[in-house]
Amino acid sequence: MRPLPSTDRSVDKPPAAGSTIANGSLLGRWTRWLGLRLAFGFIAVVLLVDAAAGTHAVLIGFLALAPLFAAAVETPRRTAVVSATATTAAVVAGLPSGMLGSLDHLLRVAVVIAVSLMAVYVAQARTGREERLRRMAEIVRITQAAILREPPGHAPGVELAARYVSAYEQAGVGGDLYEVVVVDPRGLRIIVGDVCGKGLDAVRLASAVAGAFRQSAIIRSDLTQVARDLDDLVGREPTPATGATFVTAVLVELRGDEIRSVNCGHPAPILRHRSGNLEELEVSSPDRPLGLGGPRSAEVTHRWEVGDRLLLHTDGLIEARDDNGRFFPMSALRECLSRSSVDDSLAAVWGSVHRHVGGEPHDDIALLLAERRPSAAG
Amino acid sequence: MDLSIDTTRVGPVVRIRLHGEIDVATTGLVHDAVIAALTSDSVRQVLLDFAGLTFIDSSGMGTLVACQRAVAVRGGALRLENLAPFVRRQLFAAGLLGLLGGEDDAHAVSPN
Repeated sequence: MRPLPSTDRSVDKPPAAGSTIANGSLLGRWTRWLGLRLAFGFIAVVLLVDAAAGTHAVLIGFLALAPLFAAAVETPRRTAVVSATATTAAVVAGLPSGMLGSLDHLLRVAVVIAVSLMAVYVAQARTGREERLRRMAEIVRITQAAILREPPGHAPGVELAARYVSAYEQAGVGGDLYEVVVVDPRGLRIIVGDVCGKGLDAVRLASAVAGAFRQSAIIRSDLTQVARDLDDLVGREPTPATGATFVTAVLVELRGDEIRSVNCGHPAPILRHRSGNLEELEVSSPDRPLGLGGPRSAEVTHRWEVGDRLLLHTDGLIEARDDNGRFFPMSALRECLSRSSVDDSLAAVWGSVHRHVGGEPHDDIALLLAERRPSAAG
Repeated sequence: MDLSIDTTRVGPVVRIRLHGEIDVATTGLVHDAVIAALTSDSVRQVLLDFAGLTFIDSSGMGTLVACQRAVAVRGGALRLENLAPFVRRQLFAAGLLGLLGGEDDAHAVSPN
């Protein structure tokens, strides 16, 4: 039994987040300068058309569109530059036609100035909001990383690896969770779940569910009872205004050659046989998620051989989509899960998702991979 | 990805056609549309027509549950219609198909 590197998650995170920042700023710099150039280009076009058509500065009202456009994509300072340029252009446009200083001209210039000032304000408000969202997402991400515990390095008869990847999108941070409890020298219980919702509330509930599972999994004799305990916990959560509070989860007990599971509306675990075949551990009629009431089915038992691997995941994996909206193909998992170690396999899955999406996925992904080891070693 | 919503009413039945995707960005629109449908007391049934719906994520499912509750509180019934295979599978796997009036499942609860 090889102890799990305690840095699995922390090693994964900084590069993932770092690359997002790098890509983001590179892309951001390009689009930002692009916005400034387009705004200036628009001003030039308006002036040229006005001069060429000899419209006597009638068109200069359109100059106000340049600062407005800048406000949508630029920093306040650059928006101010565009505003000043638009205003100057509006004044100068009166020169060739001799309209400068006429009431008509003054009124149009006044419109450009008024819209320009408003544009700077809009740009300021926009960037402020973006910054707050970004900071919030960062806080949630760190909190989440802090409350998810590493799975134990020494589990009975099983080798484990876990990986958690936060979405880096604003407000896109969700409440995926996993927890592993060694029940006795021969068995362990695992939960992988996903809180419906985003932000700190979701993270808080994920933490509560993981904590309750730790307690309940030790005490209760079977997983159905554990699920009912969690039902009670989640069912008492307050309901948000436009949503509902529930948690999809799969509860698994690994004991010798048995995989017992209770599925509460969660994506089915995937069993990779040593032969390479993948089997989804689906149930004929899935139970509702935790917290929504309804009956709980009895445990379902599957068998696994030494060398077989069980992948527990959240919907972020199967719902990861590429630019054309295609989902992450299950077939891609076959190769990834055949790597020599569970750690390498999860790294391969993550790499494969990353390539499929073409960057950071839009939703959180929690992955937990267990491999059955020869019992003598366990 | 966007979501467009088109609401029509025939007597006590309101039909809400959804085109696009229900995700974090669009759940509010769905909830608003259902709440708007309930402003008249004579509405007995809200049909969500999913013919044009291509995707739904977990926050979308949360909103559907909230909509179902809002309709039930007013004594009405929510039904889902024309589910695409993917959406149907998502809701079925989440054990929500019966709750949301999609189709019968093992835990289907009669609104009566």
